[in-house]
Amino acid sequence: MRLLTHNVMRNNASAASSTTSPPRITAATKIRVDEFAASASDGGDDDDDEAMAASRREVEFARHVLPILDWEALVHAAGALGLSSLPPSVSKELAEDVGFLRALYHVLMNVHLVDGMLTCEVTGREFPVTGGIVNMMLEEHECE
Amino acid sequence: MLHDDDQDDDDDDDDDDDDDGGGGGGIMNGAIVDGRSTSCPCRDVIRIERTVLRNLRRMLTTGGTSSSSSSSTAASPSREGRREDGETVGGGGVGGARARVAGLRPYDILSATVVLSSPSSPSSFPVVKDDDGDDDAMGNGGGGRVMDERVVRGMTMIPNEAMGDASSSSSSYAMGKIRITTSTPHAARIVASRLRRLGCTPGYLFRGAVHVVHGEAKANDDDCDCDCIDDYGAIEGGEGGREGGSEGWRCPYGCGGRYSGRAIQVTQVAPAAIAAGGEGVGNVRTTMRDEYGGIARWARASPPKFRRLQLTTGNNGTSCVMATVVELERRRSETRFLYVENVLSSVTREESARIVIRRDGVGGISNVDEDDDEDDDDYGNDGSTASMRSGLLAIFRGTWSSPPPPSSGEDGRNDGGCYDCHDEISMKMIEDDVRHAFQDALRDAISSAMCPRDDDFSNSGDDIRVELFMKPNDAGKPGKGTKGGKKGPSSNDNNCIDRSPPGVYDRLHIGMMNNRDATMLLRKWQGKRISLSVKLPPSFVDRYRSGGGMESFYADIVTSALFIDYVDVLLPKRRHRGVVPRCRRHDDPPIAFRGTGGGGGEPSRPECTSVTDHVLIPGLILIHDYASEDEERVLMAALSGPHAPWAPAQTTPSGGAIKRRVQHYGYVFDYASADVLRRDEGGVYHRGCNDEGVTIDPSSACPPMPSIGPSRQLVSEMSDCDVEGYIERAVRDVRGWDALAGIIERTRRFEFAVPSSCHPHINQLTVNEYIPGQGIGSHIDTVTAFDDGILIITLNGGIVMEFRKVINDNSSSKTNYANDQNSRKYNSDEIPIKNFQERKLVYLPPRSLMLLSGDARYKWEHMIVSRTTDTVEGAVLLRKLRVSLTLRTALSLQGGKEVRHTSNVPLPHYESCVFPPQWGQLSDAAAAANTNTPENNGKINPTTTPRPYSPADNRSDLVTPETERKHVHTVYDAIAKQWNHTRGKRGVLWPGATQFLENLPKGSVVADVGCGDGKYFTAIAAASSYVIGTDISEPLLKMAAAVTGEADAMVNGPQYQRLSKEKRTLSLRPAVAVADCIHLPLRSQSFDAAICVAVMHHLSTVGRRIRCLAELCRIVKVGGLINVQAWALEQEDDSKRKFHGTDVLVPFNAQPKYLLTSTMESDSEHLKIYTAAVDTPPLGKGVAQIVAEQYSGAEFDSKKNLVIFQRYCHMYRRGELEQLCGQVPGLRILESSYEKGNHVVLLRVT
Repeated sequence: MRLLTHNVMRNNASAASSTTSPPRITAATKIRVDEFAASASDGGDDDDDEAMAASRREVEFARHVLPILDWEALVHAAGALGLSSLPPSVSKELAEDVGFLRALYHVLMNVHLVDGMLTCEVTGREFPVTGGIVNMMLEEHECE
Repeated sequence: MLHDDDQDDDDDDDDDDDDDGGGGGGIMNGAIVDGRSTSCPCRDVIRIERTVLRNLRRMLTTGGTSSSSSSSTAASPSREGRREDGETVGGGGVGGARARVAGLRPYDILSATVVLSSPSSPSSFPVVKDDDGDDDAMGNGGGGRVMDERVVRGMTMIPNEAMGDASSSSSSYAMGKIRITTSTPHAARIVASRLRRLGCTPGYLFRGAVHVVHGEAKANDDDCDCDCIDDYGAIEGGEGGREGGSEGWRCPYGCGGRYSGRAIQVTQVAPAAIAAGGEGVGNVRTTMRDEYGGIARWARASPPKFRRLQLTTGNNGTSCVMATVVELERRRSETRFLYVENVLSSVTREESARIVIRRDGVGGISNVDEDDDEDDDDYGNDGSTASMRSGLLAIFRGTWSSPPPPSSGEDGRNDGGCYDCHDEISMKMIEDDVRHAFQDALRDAISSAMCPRDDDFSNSGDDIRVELFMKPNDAGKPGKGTKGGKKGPSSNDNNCIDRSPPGVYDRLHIGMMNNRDATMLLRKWQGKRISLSVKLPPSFVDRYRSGGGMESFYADIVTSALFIDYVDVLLPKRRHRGVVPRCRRHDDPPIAFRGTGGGGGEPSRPECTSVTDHVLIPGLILIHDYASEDEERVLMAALSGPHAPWAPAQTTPSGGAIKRRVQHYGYVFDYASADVLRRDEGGVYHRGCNDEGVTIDPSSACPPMPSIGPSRQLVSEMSDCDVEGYIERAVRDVRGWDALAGIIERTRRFEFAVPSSCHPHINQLTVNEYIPGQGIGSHIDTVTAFDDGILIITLNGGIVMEFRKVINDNSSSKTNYANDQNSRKYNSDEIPIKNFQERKLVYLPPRSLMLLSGDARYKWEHMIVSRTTDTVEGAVLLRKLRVSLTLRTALSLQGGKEVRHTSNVPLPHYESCVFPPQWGQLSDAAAAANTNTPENNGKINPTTTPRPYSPADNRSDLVTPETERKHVHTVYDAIAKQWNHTRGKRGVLWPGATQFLENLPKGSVVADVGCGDGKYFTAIAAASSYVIGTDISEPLLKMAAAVTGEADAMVNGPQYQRLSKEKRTLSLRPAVAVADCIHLPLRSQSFDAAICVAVMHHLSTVGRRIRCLAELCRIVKVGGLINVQAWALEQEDDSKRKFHGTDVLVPFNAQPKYLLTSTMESDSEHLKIYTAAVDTPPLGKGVAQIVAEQYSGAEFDSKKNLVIFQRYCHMYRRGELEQLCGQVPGLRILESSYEKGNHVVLLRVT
């Protein structure tokens, strides 16, 4: 489960309706981090161009996704996976910074939680992550 | 739709041409020879046009290798087209659309028209010389052969400058031009290049080079005199300018280009050059240009059988303006056509019609259309204006045979001998132009009426698609054979001026892409007067040159009869009355009736019935608004909802089946014996007088009558006020069954005044569902089975009921027929009547109650004609789904089996206040409630009765029903492996969904709700979007994750290299989560788009469906798009899926080998069993059986060694999905369509 995926998750139980944040990552037993900018690593005649284009798209994607992110949750989640380099908040200048956006893309897309546990802050409900798949199923009585 | 006669003829001629067709030479041979044989060149032109078109298609679309091979294939264009399509599909998925670019399909060449060049000098009419062997000579490169003045199209030959070649020999002849219209610029280019490559041999029509001139990009500097004629007043530049020179031809099939008709003019100039011995010196010049600027434009499409107009308002580039034939056919099948009769007649026929020509230069909006006098002044001052006006009228009237002469003979072409023919053709085109312009205006008016410009920038109209077909009145024409209508003189008439009038254009078909739009338009425009401002086409203006500056005219239209004709959409065929009985055996209208009718009063067309509301039939009472609208709504939810207890299909002994859906309460009506099934005390059913209990399998034990109290006694103690209060509460709480029980009780107590009667013993309820087009044969309810007094409550949709009085009615006939039961001649509850005398029509409005008693009950047959519209006091009403409640009093038998004699003793009440009613549940509770046990006397508050299910109860509606657990969730968990394995077989991705995904902006975050095994992941990733998929089935998600794994493997693999750069950047790997689609664990407004494919049809309650849509709406950003697809009840004819009800169980044959692995992993307990089973030979057999036993919903097929799972599916009726979407605030339906057995809805979150 990418951090981006994690970031759009939410506990939909009625008891947790007070929060819109994703459940916290409380356990991470297996993590996978993909090669940074793997797509640009392969050789080719137009390697540079390709890498440039890829990089530009990554930046674009990060910029596009940034507004929908729950930044605090992302910082927390990244921290739980051992990435503590994210700034606590994103200023306007930062949001336009290409280097930052590239790094953000990397964090969002290339860092995977393979096995672990998510815990809802409000209700304490736990959602297991196995094999990269998070099980967010609720019981009937938990639904509103 | 206007049938294009030319095209028809074309088809008809095919054989001939194939016969004489020595390949492309057919063009010349056929055309010229014919041309020689008759004196009128116009006919030649038409023939040549057709031949040219056919040959062009043949040659250019078969690869253009050689004319001989192409002709030998003799493949019909349509077949080729289909084949090409097939290839495209085979090309598969993402690249499919692009792959098509390389090809040219027959229908890309829309038409080849002869364009008359304006003769710069008069010359004799085309000298058409026959020269056999000419083809060969020319094919060999001319060989110095002088190409004579043979103008292929019966055009004048004009001395002209040779272009391209330096030879300035003035002896060269310019000739007519053939304008080839293609669907796309790309196609135009292909046509041009192929023509060039073939050396213009096709048909030996063209010789020399072909240049594509697109915009100014490739303009050949050798400008020729025969530059394109502006007969269309085409706006040069336009898109051409924008696209000019760019290599990025866009294919509208793939990427939704904005191009419609591009015209290529292929101008042949060659002869002189050929004379000079040069090879290929002649210049065939191709010009492409837009027919009209702007968003809306018309396209002349010859392959479809009509001249069509099509509009896609809005400019988002997603819609394909030109359509292939297949596409056209598809759209036609989906389009609801509003048929507007006499629209134009009011414009053109009546003198009061207002066609007001105003001077463009006047500027602003003049009020000429308001003031007749001013109009008069206006064209009184200007003779040409008046003549323009008459010209316009004439065009629509179809009498525009003799064009008014150009007022100034500035070019002096009047005296040309060929002038008439010249004019004949250009006139025709002008005529078309004007009509098209008119249609354009009408279309604009429609789209603006339907979609008033509102604040929303993007949806101002792009969800409205309008197609217009103008239909000439063929009355004056003998038939299809005459081609005079559109393309020139009638074939028998050599005088090309005095052709027969082509027919008055006074009808329109307005096609809306969905029923909602059509209905809305109908409502808005019925009988209204609409003012249009029509922009005159330049060609017309040119004609009246002296009146220059006139650019528009006003037309007022009064839509006299507007009705939606979608009969052929809903039903396979429009059935005539004689056919109806065949498909509804049980209705079996009397044969005598059919014979005697003689069409007398029986409408042959479903539209033209007439009805009066005030019909006096003794014993018939109609109470309007017997139920309130709220009550109706609540009742409908229960009775027509997904959990309504529809009766098992009954068949008649003759093998017929009852088509419409029915429900029985209290007592089953047995259609085979036309009698109710009576139960004895032991619960054994009896059919008629047969005392040996009929073996009724328990499942056909019908549900009891809904009752408002546990016992009749208690109910009878309730006052009327109590009953009304009960109903009120039930309606307020949306408890449908309670409301039904209350209504029944109300009906029992209802006292009718005139034939003073009351029906307290009603003990049987039949619910009939009539979908539009369904009816019931003429019948009298079985006399022996039911007492006097039949009460019919109509819900949801009004209907016209037809009554016929029985003539040869005598007292014995009833019993005769009653005693006739054994012969089984009449296998229904209808009694055949030999004759009838009177016929009366009664409109039953929704929520009305009708009482049939006395004569109306016994002496009048009643029936409902099978059709989709009713005419009530002049207004055409579209039938809606009608649910009727028939309340009757079933009678008991008295006197035993010998004497089949009924008394008026009603059968005991069999009712229950425990809901919901279900078939086959002769529950003890119901039985106990039924027996009037006095100890059950405790006063029960009816409202507190436990309700296991109530359709509109929000909470319980959302709880996952057992049906879904058993027949959806479990099944998919079990079959996940096989599901994934057979993914290829399950077919390609629906084009609608892939196109939706492709059109999303790159880098979108997309939710795939109910992603299953990730069928669409690759498509989403290919569209450079990021997908997060959710599904309730974890095994399926693991398969989806396997897709992930493959993608991972691809990162450095060779396949990955093949991906484009864009696709690589957002890697293919998707994200998945286990979740219920009605409780999505996703944050609100965090997605750019969502798709929900094949999920909605697994939800079994309305509440869950709505909730699912609401969840989709919640997670998508405002302005985002949602694509929802679900199975349709209406499957295509060739589909192997046929659904007979909306809620069905669809079997899935599972093979044990897949089940073994998919179910075992998680469950060690079962694993042991399986291992044991596996160890026991023969392998597999036992396994399948064990698996089947494990799942309650599965069966074991011992023959094939398969486990058969049953998947619950709800088949959506047309419009149902849209209706659901309408209930979710914040969703706006942009588009709804039908695609390969699925209903597709495109939504925008607002």
